[in-house]
Amino acid sequence: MIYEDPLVPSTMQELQDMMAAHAGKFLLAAGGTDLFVKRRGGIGRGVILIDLSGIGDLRGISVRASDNCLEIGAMETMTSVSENPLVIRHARCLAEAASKVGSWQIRNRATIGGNTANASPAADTPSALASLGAEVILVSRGSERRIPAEDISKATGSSEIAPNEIISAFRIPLRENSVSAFGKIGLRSEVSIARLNLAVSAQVSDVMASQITNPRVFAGTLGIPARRCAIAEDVLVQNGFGACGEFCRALAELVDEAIPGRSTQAFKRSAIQALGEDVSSALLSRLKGAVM
Amino acid sequence: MDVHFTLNGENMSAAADSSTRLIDMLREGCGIKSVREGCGVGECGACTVLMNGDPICSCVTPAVQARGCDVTTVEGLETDGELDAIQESFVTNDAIQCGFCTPGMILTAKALLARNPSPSREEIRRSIAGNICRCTGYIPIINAIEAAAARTREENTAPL
Repeated sequence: MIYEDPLVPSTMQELQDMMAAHAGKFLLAAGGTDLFVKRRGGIGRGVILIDLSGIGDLRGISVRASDNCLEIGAMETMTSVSENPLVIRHARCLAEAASKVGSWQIRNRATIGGNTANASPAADTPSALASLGAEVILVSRGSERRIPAEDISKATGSSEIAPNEIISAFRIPLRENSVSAFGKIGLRSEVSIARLNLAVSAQVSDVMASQITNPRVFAGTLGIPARRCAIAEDVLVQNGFGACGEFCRALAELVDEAIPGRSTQAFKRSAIQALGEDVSSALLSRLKGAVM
Repeated sequence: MDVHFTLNGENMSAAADSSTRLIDMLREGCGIKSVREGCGVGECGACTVLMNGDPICSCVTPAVQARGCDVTTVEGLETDGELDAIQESFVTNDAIQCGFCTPGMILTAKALLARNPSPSREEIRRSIAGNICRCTGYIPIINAIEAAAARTREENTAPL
């Protein structure tokens, strides 16, 4: 063997000790599905792989009544997130986003924490997490901080995570009478990298959706993993889900602002309006179930 | 480090370093050559194995993550010299041409039928979306999986 032995922590304390002892010389392996694609030629001599799969504290999906939130461990896979009844009930758009990641094989390994940490602008779950108002829990030796999911990556391929930090979990606030939906456009129907994705969540007062509050509209694959569309949110507050044309035009404006002059601008300008129609339609169909 | 795991029902130990992928450990450390490397980036599914019953791409899985796990390759489907119903069905339905994708395709089908004994053709199609075949055009493969499901259901309901 010409490469270093991997390390296999089983607790967060062991992990943090290893990260401190090998600072600057380690790579963290969550599911590995992005790691080994980026490092096809090998991890590199002198680099130590720290495997996160044995740390039980990084797993689990549960409702934390004390914080009125849904907590999802960073090492939960796309399969477990997409099939979990709590996620489907409280964070439908996230379950949908996770179900559209790669193939069945990839969803069985890829993790929600890895998807955020990798900071790909074409990732599927960041826009859903941002639309749900999720917080990312970052832990380092002796400290913990929380940052909004939409703030974790402000530039392509980079994130706000410090070298000594790790994502431990995501916390999604539970909101009454809330609905959410996710849509994605790729070059094919399955095993597709997103050309564009859209996640919307909101609270509604009645089945007619005459009053919408706290809408959160985020698009992915517009330069960064999750880009907010405040104009589209204003349209939802003023006109509800019924004003689909105006909502879609607001989304097209977001494309113009985000990627002016880029070769994909015209395609994405059109595609995001189709996504807007699909997501609006899904939200309308879910209203009845959302309102008590 | 030595990775201890179960391979096709038997205890196994194989060496892995930080750069070793599961496919490398299986092919070079364990002599399992049915696990093929196609794309090497988790898209073609030729490297599919079952880990604790779930299909995964062994070309993008760190070998160290197999420790303590139950890994199944297509060699593990045969029982006392008898092919599994899915393997037989692939043969009788002409679902094999060059054979490169076949082990991965069969393992994905095995996982599907373990969860869903009566999949629709659409469910079969979706489950094998991560297994690319460049020869058959998929129709014989879908036929084979559908037929294997029917045969397995019949066998499970037949009187003893």
